[in-house]
Amino acid sequence: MDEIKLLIVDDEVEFASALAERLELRNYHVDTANSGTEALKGLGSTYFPDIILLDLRMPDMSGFDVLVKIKEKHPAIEVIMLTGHGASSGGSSSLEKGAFAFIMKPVNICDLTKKIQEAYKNRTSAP
Amino acid sequence: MRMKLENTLRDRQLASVGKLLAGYTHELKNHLAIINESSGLMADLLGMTESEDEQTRVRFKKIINTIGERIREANGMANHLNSFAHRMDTSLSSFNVNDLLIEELALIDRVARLKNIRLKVNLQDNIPPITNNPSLFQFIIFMIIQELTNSLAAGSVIEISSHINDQIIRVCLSSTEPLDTIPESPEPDNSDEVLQFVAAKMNIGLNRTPPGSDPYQIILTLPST
Repeated sequence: MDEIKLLIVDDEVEFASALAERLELRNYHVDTANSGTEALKGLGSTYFPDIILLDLRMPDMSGFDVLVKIKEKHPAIEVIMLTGHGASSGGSSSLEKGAFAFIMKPVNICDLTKKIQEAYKNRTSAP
Repeated sequence: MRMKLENTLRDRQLASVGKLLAGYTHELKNHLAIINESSGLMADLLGMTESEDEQTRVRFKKIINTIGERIREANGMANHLNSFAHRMDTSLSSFNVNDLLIEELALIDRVARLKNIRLKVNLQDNIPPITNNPSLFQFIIFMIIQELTNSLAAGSVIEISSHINDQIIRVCLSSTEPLDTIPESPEPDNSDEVLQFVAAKMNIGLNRTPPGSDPYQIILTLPST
């Protein structure tokens, strides 16, 4: 199986690092960025992810704005939004803007890896 | 003019409480997410570590499971609190009374439990949404439950039910035990006056069965839209 490359974008450093380690234990290649700006700056130069796990609420740029910019410049990258409050917090709007899915925090690791596999399959099957 | 300003002040004050509460619950969920990932990582590492001390391993697994269960519980409460806070965003919106009751009762349950009073919920399915003031609806429910819990003895049960008949939704709060603790008249303070004022403002009905009746009931009548 190909090694799936992930980028976690979340301003909560401890959350991002613990989740990254858990995903690495499950054989994913994981990078982390702690702001939307950092993620956008590094995309295509530092980070080459297949899938981005993107927090919806961050102080510098909202996940929603980051999503729009990612989809403008890198439409092939699948984005899974991580949100505290689902539909009420913009989760469903992010789907309209091209996110593959949104997952509620705290994250269930089995649900997340299942969604990552689906997103990767979707990415590789895209024309 | 002064009254209008006071109403605006009250609305804004309420909205600010809602915003603060919503922000607070978001922070709370962030902490829960970090605890969740950290305990999940502990579980992962424990699963990979070879140890001959099976007893300690089992103990650790049990502790990690307890953390996970408590995170789920706290997360559910934070979700209810967040939704509750967002009800104050607008003074008029479309909502389902059952959703608001479930959300509020989850938050009130502990207050009732501390008085050893049980809240029994019996909500009819397929209640259509109504358009009204959601935070006032929750406020009126809070006032009624507070009145009942203050009046009832430990061991009592308050049943909260919803029904629809002929496009009229009825939310009924009743208590049947012990009957002798039901007050002869509503609370001595002006809470009944406040309840009637809120009901009139929401354009809904509020009726009580006579004191001492079995069951003692307070019924809200809301036209569906």
